[in-house]
Amino acid sequence: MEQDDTVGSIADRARAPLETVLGERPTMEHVLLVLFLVVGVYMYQGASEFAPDAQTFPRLMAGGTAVLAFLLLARNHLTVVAPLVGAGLGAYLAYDGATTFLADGGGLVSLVAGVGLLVAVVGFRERFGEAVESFVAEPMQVMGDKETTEAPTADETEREEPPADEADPEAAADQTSSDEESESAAMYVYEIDDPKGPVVTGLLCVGYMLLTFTIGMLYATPIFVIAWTLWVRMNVIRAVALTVLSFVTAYLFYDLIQDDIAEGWLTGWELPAPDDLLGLWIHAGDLLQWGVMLG
Amino acid sequence: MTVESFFGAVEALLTAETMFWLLAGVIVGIIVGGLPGLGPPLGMAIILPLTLPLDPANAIILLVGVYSGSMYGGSIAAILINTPGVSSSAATMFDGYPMSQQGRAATALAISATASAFAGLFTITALILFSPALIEMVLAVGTPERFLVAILGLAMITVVTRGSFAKGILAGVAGLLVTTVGIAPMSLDQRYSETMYLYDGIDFVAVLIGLFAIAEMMKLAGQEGGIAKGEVTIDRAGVTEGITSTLKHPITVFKSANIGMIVGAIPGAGATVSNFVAYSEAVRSSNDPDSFGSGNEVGVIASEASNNGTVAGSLVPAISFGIPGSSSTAVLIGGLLMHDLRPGPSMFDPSGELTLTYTMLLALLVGNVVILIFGLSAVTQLGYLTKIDTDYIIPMVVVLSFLGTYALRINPIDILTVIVFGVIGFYMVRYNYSVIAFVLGVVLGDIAEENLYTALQLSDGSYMIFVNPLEYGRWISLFLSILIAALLFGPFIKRWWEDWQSA
Repeated sequence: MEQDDTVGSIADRARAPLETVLGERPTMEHVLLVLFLVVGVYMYQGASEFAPDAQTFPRLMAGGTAVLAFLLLARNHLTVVAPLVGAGLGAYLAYDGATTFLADGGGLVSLVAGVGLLVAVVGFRERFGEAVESFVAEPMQVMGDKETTEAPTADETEREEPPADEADPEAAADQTSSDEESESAAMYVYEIDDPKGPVVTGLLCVGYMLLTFTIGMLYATPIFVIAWTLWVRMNVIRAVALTVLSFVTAYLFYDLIQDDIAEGWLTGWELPAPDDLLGLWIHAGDLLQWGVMLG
Repeated sequence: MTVESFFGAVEALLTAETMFWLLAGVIVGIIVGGLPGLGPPLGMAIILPLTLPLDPANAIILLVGVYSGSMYGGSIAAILINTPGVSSSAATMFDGYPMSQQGRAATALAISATASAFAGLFTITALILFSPALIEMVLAVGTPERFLVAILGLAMITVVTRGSFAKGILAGVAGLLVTTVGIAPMSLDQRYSETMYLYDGIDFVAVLIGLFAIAEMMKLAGQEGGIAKGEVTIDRAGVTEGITSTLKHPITVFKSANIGMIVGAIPGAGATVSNFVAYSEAVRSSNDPDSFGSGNEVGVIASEASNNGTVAGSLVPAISFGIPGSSSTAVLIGGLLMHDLRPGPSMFDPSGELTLTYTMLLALLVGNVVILIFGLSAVTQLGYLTKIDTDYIIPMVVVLSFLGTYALRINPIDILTVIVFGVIGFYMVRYNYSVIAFVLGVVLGDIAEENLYTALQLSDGSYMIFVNPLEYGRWISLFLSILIAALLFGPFIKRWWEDWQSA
């Protein structure tokens, strides 16, 4: 049987194990959560190098970020994962609290919280898993009607969820966004008609940044706008007007607020400013003469 | 002393320069609010770096002018093209757009201007009158309580905003984590400063611009529509009718303004929620509820009065404790911090910044008069705003965001921050993570850490200071701790209790 080696099929093959681990199709949300998890773990670890006074707050926040991101990533396996995480966290807090308590009499809150967590996990394992599951996955709302806060039953969940291979994650995200937009006044969510738009805008911003670091923002600005007008296929006259407007804006920043924006940070290049270029006009006659002579 | 500060504020406001910035702020705000897809936080975020050369009072006045103006401006697109310029004008569409389709666009716009202005005038006056009591309250709160109030604000946001509880808390905690980069407050240790460009930490202005401007532009780039397709006819004759209609419904204006003010003071709820609550209340109390949704003027009055009423309400937690009631007040707090003004007791201290606080409130008061005059006189021209294509708006907003951010410090990390947080913000909103909670974390981080640090110093490192009033005598701390626990665990305990009862 011939192996299908198209990009799509390779992506599908790479996605399959991820899908099994996550229990759902991977989307950009998972990328976001992995980012939070990695940053949280890195910053938690890094905080141990700071002076005791300076490490309390970052450790609390980094730890919280990492644990919550992990729980959200494992949301489809929480009945199993949550008690394990709870037990680990409880043991760590109890140990940390106990050693601090023995050393200087502090750490009582940590010790009590750790022991409490351990008792909760060991004594009510299933209940604990369900509680964490509802904390992570269910919509909770004080200012809303009851039906929207109720958890779907297992039957409903099965009925509503399309098979993984049929579901388009981006479309699903749009659908979710759209549904929630209509239901909720408290949460502001998007509908996306053209998924390429945000990606291209993001890439053009990255290009703008790289150009800024190379030739400075003064000249990177009109180039970015030209690239944008080409992408949206703007009428030439309007494109020129917009480019000129952007350049004038950049020039006003350069002239009135900060002239360092004209320098490329990576290269140290600073292209001649427009007023310098205008100064060159006095040599235009000479240049023309040389051109004619060379010609 | 309070009276002296008040008159000092009047004097400060009545200078030509201050009035110019106020006028400029309100007009820019109306334009930004009127452009479909843009809104108060975005407009304020872009303006924020530009305020650096201004003195703090004028900078804050410019920002509150933009805030107030764009709250009204948001109704223009809602009424004329059925697209709210800001999410807080969503309920205005229900009756504003049908009025526009019936050829009564001018009436709807005039109602919007008058209801917004009257509600703003009423709520700001109420806030000024209430301020002496507020000052007493804020000054009575100590360091441990201020830390707990910050956590309470975060907890409330996660409860009020819809979606997974864990997502809300994650957003807030991640926001707080961002602020731990750079110099630690109090101990002055360097943290996570892998490069010298991070010595001053991640600039919150860059984060705000990324979250509000770049994320929003990425969103707009993926959306179709939102621009007026045909000619919108606005007949000036409807203006008088609009003014009369608002004046005929003083109770709706009063009630909706109050709803806006109360809901606005709840962190995270903001004008979007108050807008719907006020609209629902107008429908509920009407003798003719069926007429709502097909051009009932009372619907527009309720919606517009509530969203401008929210401005005053959201300022209460913002300037008292540094807790933003909405994204816009988060940017406003960013502006205060950028100009070395700390939200909290010093903003209410007569020997501190009380004069500035009063100047800001009085500026909002005058700003509402500007909205009334400008809104009514420019009714026929406002339609042009809805015809500007997003293809022109997007590159200019990106350019202004980049220029504003980079010109602040010429730190390349700031540009990277704008892009990274733009992308993060885009996906956070897309997947239902509360950006407001994240912003609250970013804005509040230093203040929260500083108060936590001082509180722990008071208790020799014991967290019991927050929950043991017998030893530390801090009953407010215990009350706040219980409130936080109730907010976070209440829904789960309630469900367990119900399950247990039914079993």
